[in-house]
Amino acid sequence: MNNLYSNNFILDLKKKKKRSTIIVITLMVSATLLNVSLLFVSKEENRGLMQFILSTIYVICGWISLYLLFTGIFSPRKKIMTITNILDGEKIELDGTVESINKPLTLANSDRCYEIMIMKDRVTHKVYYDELFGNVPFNKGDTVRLNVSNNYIVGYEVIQND
Amino acid sequence: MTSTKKESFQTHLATHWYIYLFYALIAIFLWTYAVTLVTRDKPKEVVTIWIMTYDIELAEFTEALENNRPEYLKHIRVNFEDRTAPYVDIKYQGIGVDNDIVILPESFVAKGSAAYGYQVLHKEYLESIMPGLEYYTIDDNAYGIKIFDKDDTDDGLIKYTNETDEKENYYLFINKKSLHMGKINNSQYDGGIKVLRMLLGYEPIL
Repeated sequence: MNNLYSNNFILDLKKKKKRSTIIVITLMVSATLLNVSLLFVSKEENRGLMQFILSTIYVICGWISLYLLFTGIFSPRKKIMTITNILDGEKIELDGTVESINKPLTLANSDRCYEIMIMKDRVTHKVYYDELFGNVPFNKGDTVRLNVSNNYIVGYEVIQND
Repeated sequence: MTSTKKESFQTHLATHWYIYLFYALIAIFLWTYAVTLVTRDKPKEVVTIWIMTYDIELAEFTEALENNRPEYLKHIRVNFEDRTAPYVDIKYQGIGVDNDIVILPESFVAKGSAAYGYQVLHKEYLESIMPGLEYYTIDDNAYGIKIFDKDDTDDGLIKYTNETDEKENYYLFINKKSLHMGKINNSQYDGGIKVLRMLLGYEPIL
């Protein structure tokens, strides 16, 4: 059985969150200091130019910070919560045939996952494979044994290729 | 940027664009305001004049005053308002009254109580620096100085008459709170007196 999730993922995400926080704070503090310094050398003659320069600096730094805030801080925080739930959740073993592998979709918690349909005893089960791990390592028609927690595949084993 | 990252970036922008736009607007507004605040003229560095007549050669008039301004002043700002324009009363109340020097037609002053808001003038002092002045008086108190007489010819940079309306007198009033009127209102600076002398023709400006 190939296990997908591990505690290292959480550590990596925490590192990413910390790094992004430092960049955001450094960027905004630097932009503010630079702008305040420029503000005090502004003259009536160059007012328009200074307004343009200061606004541009703050807009660009702010946009970068906002992007990092969403993708490097909020997103990892959500991901950590999701992975913690998956790792702590009850694991179910599911044997069956892969009926379909759909294109990645965004779930309500903002995770991007492949939606996979598994047929077992004429019942279809819907499970998710996190895009974080790249492409799905099995194909339609394969017989697989899956370890599932909170509908996420946490481990897999290909029993028979189609 | 890999295609997955590019796609993810585009998705992010598509769903959060309004936050970026809102942030940009706020940042531009704040820094524009901050620069304006820092670079604007300080009241002690500028004398402002509000003129309500028919017309003015504004650029030429302002330049002439600026060329002869007292050294400590950065600017002499002249604000002109066409007396026939709509809402001129509101503009006067909103902006005009705060200027250091205000030039108004007699009929405008007479119809309201505008004169009472201005500095009461000490005739003796004014006579000592500008002899021969005429005043706008209420109950023996002088509030305004005549700057244009209806019997005068109107050939200066400021146009006090037009072809249709009856000619009338114009008076110059001084803001009680002006920082530039020296002994006139016991203020710290006296550059406004030189401006007064130029406006009233006691010092050449051209």
